[in-house]
Amino acid sequence: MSQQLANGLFSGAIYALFAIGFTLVFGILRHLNLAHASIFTAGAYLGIDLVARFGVPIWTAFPLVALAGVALGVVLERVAFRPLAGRADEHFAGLISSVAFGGMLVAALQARYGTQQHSFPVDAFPNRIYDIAGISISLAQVITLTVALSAMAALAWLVAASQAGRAMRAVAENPNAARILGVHVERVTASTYALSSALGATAGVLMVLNVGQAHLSMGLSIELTGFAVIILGGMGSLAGAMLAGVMLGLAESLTVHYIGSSYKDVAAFVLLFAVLLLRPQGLFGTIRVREA
Amino acid sequence: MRKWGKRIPTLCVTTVAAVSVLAAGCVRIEPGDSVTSRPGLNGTGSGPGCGIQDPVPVGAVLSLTEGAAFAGQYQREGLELGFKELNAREGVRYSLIMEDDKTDLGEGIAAFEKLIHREDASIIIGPTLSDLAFSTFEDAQDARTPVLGISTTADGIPEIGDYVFRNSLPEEYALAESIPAAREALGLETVAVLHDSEDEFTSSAYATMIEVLSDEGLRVVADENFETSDTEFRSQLTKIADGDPDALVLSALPNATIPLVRQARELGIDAPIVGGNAFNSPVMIANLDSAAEGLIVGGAWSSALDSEGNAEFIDAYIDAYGRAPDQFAAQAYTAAKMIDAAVRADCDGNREAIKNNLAQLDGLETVLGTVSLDEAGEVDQQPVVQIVEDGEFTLLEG
Repeated sequence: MSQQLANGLFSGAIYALFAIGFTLVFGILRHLNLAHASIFTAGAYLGIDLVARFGVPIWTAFPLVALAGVALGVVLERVAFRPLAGRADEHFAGLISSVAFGGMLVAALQARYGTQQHSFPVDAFPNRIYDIAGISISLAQVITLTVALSAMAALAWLVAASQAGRAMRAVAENPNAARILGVHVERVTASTYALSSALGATAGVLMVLNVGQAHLSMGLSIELTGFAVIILGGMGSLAGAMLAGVMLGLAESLTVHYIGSSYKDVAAFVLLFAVLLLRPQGLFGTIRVREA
Repeated sequence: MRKWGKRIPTLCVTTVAAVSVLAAGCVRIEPGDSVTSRPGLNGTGSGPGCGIQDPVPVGAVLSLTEGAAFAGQYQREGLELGFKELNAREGVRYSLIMEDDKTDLGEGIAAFEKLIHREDASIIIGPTLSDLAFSTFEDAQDARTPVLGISTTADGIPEIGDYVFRNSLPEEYALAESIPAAREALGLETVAVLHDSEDEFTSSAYATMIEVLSDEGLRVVADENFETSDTEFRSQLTKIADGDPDALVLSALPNATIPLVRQARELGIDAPIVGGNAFNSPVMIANLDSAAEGLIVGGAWSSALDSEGNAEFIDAYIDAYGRAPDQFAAQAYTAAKMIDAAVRADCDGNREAIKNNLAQLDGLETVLGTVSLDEAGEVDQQPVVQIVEDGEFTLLEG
């Protein structure tokens, strides 16, 4: 039972880490960026390539992958979202163009790395296993949980208390008013995508360290759960994404333990529906009233 | 009203013409229709002395992209290598027409339609997945076009019709061989079972697995499942570890095997893991390193197999593609040789001749070993059981 709680906590940390980047863009820009899953996959492949082919130590690969994520985020915003800004169907069209961007990115990964699974070299990462009171925990799991909590705290501070965060919130509230007040809206938008994508790409590397391999559909596998997490936590809420990720992870583990593995997904989505019935805005969401 | 009156005859003529065109078009896809025998595919001589004027068109529908591309790419390489070697021989040339089904049923049906009706393929190889085979093979059967499955191992596929063949050893045959071999070699008494419940191929194997375990008197202490897209298996593995089985029997697709085995070892499950075709890949051993020790693999092919041309096939494949072949590549390569044997038997590259001669294929020596096709079009070959020891596949001796 205690091992199942640990399993749920750590798989929930992965969900949360993926969803935090996802929800950041939605919370600030109201854009649903469906290329996030592809950037997650790209981060995983790039991390493996850096370590396996170029001999970069895994600890150095993390910041390099994050930087690559920044670059991808900037390109994504520039080609898939900015040209649509101001259109009446900006949000829907952006959703579609992000799907296209994601598809092209995965196709490029396939052309570059082929279709087979990829893993880090065995000696690249000292994935020690700790036995704490009979619970088996890997170093990769500990790092993932730490990174997820740190990312949530740092982003929450950034959005709530920093100069950049104030600019982001101003853009979120009203881009035109923010522009009149001197906020460089395009720069803030690009920065949000860069930050979100850096997190997504880093999450991809951590996913590989946790599960053992990368494959081209790994982003798609987690995308649906990521959606569930941001809806459960409240669209745009960083703390909500963290809590909801862990809740979903625990729900899955406990369902396997007490009911059966066939019902794993059923239980997770029953939890989602139950929360939405009782609190439609999600755990940490707020009901926004927009004025015309 | 007068205006319409003038137009009525024109409308009638147009409607009749349209219906005639549609009816004419429909004739091509009526069940039972067949492409007329092409004289250019009728040769002279037989066997090694056979000579056919036109290249024999061979279609292949494989999952070259998306989910099943892990297998489709190896299959493409195996086929290309096989037909390249055949085209270097005298007498018969083959034109290989490759289509990507993108791991999607709709794309697969469209690709079969194109190969059957537009390319007039004499035989079609593929598709990669059993899930796509049921509909596409029915279309081929209706159009009297022979098909040869190279990885479609689900139950009921050869029964679709007399134009349907496969050289892909069903997972259940491999498991039926590997479970008793493992029990005998390792003295197993209890097992845990874990399978992918979403996939046709693995579900079909699971049903057989349970039967074989029962026949062998092995007690199942845990029976868990997961979905194809899952990457996190620790919850199921924790329940399995609680049962303390002598071995874990697994039915999964290749994408799941590495995370499953690694996570099992991380949770302290050191018991042997018995798997089917999905384990049969050199990539898997390289990626798992020491975690791969003790994996027992039942399959159709092994690099360690002393079969005709196996060593040469492996060398040629590595030379051509820079990586070692896996079972998917070996089965695709074998398909080329089987088709060549069927064509050369009557020196005829037309559909009916290929179908008739594949149905009589008996005792062909291939890299998979001695291969025959029974009256239902099912492959008959001896499965290979291997165990990973010191980082290499070795044949498991009882």
